[in-house]
Amino acid sequence: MATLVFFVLFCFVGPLVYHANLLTANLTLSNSPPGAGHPLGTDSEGIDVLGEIMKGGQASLEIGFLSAIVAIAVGAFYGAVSGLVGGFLDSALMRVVDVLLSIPFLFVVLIVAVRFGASVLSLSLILGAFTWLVPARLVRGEVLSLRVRDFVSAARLAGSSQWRLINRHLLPNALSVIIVNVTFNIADAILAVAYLGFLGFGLHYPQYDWGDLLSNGTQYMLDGYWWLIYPVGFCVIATVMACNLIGDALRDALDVRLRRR
Amino acid sequence: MAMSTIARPGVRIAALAVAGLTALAACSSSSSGSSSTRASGNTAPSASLGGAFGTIPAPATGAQHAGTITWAESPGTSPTWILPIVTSAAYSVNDTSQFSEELWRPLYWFSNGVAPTQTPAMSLANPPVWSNGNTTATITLKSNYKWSDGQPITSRDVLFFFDEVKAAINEDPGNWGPYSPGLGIPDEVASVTTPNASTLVFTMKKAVNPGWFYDDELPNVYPIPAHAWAKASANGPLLDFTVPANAKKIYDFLSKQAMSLSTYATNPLWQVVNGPYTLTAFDSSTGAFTMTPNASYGGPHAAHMSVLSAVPFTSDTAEFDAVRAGSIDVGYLPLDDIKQVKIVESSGYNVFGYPSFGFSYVTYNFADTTGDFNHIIAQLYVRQALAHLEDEQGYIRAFFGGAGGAGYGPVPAVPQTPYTPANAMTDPYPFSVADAVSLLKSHGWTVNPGGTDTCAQAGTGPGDCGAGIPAGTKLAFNLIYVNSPALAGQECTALASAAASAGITINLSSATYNYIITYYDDPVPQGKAYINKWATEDFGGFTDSTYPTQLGVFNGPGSLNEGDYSNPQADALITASVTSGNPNAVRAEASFLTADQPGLFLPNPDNVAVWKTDVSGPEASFASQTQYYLNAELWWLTG
Repeated sequence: MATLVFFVLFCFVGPLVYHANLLTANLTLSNSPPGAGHPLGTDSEGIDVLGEIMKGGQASLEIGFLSAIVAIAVGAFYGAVSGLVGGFLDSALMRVVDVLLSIPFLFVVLIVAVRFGASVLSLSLILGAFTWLVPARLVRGEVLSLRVRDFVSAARLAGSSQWRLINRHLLPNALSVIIVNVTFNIADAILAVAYLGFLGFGLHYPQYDWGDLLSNGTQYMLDGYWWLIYPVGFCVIATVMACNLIGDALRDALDVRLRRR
Repeated sequence: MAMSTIARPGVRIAALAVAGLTALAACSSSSSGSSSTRASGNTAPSASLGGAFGTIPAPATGAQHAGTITWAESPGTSPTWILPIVTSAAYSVNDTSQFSEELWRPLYWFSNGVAPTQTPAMSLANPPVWSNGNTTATITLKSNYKWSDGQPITSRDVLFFFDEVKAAINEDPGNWGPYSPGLGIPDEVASVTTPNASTLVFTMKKAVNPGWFYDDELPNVYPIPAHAWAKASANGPLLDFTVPANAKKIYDFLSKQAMSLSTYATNPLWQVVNGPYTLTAFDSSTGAFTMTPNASYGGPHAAHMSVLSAVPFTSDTAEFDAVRAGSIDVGYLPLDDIKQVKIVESSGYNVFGYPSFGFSYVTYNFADTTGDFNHIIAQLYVRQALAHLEDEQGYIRAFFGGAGGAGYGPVPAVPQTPYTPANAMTDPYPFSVADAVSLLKSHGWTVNPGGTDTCAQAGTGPGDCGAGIPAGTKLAFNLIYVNSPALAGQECTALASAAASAGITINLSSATYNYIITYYDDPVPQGKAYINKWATEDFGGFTDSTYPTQLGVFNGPGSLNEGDYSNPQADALITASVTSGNPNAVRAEASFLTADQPGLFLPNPDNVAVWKTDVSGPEASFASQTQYYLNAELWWLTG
């Protein structure tokens, strides 16, 4: 948690303290090594790398959180409806999920990113639109066990509508599954954005993302320009690992069966 | 990333994708003994223009011997066609310059080191003599070239080629790559006659520009052995190819044989050659091939010619690894690895790079009505302002590692040619944000650095924004660049950054090369649906032909006029380049286009060749590799 908080502060509060001009290229400073004025050197455009990492982290984290929210919102509702209604509708809805899961989502994301352009919002929506499938399955499984519980039966006998059952009884009780999945979704989205950026389909100037920065750096792998690769690579790895560890910890804390061990 | 194109007019190339060398011949006689340490030819660019990277050592003077010279075949450039009547699909350096032209030479050899000029000693014929008001060209074949089976090369062999080209085109225009409907060979040729065995006469339907016909059309003509190939089956009788029905049968037979890649090295047809090599092995699955010297070759060659072994690579990384390991004799240095030049040199290689003859540019879409961009970009002062925002020298230094040459127009500053206009030799719009701002302010724009400029003074007067630009119009548009190689993104980002300093908002996005040329290309049907989706794009550029007219690219109805640039003066100059007798016509055309900026011309990265220090030869034979020519016949081994 501390790591994630650190990176959130680093990316969002850091630029308030560390001022770097990320808008104006200075080709005379192209690929300068770390030194005075540029603690992590400059990139091929002569722009400060530390500032770029902060700015790129903002985009990566924003996309990670936003796409996770989209995915969880869609997936949780979809899974809850499917699990609660059951029968033919449940089968149909889950087959739709199966079909969508069989599509290589990164390939589709690439096409959509090219067709509609990349921005924080569009990438968040695109990634969210393809990552709600796993939460839907998990929530549906949770709802299948919850719907036969006494408190749900009681609520149904008391005249609760399906919507109220989902909203007031099922989703709150599936919250542990949802919260744990949010953390994994954030990590996956950050990695997906890194993939897109690495392939050249991420954000573009004047925006930055970590994958794009990493991609630019790998061109100079043999040139010894380590400041273009290692710092941003560390940020991606540390943030993703932090999200995954938080997810594991939450699962351990919230899952009753695991707690008993 | 390899470029698989040949220096012919209007061949589109992916953005800066020029790391892969696919060489080809050119150069002077093996007896050349210049001690120059630079590429020979007529090119001596000033330091500010850039261009040359590395040096070429003088030919070794010690003992020479033959052996096997391995040559790196860049990724995706396996030969797929052998017949000199090359189809459109196979019209690329990997099928012609780096393969079939080692076996069959064209009438005229238009490459000389880094310069796209003729090497007379390597041409099979003397220059044409024009008469009858530029309607008749008389060509005399040289006597020193012969077929490998001992037969002389005669004018009938050229006539055979001409008749077979006509037969091929009658079946499908795509059967001959250089074909332009209604233009040049064969459509503008009324007849070809052969008064004697060494003379042929081209009679044109109307006067043509002799420079254009000589530089661009005749180099596409290859004598082919009528005494061995004029038949409709492997063991059939020789046919009279001047009869169209027979010509068709012969073409059908030859093209069918050319489709059988697995028999390239064994088919007796392909063993009758007039080039420096004969093909002795060909792997149709990988594209690897071996060529052995043709003892009957009559052109310039090393005293001890070596076997040429082409080694295919699946990636630039693999090729570079082979160079670092010293396992290839002649290869290339990918531009991404340009800073590794010291390691390459210390591994026992010579290094030389130079830009190929062509241009890279950001295409403007003159038809995009989004935000009145069509009216904005129609203003010359806007295009001039954008040119002022491009830091060519900075790009060469920062992004090319110094291995690139300036390009200010469709005919680049380097390599310089006899047709390079004076205004392409110095930057007509040098990098200056202040000059760009000044131009905008003087034409009624409110400049807002870091924000977006707006048109404050609508109108068509000298101090107004220009026709069709309403007051309040914002100077903002999109730029879509090819996602690979990374150089394109770097250049476009630097441009957008400089533009932001002048209050011009350029919204960047990237797409694949195929996506861009499929959808962001106004003349093609798919492109019409996307005509308002893009304002500017960087897909790469075009190769220039030896006679660098921009017919097709910058004339109004040109099929490769991606952004609908239209200027009556440009159209008239381009037409004159092809039809007038004015030898300076194409220079005038290039000069106008350089000044008018139909696109934002970018610097051109070098093709960087590397070869082991124990491989020697005339300087031009190594320099020509940067222009996609391979002259292995001029190389020898030392030590």
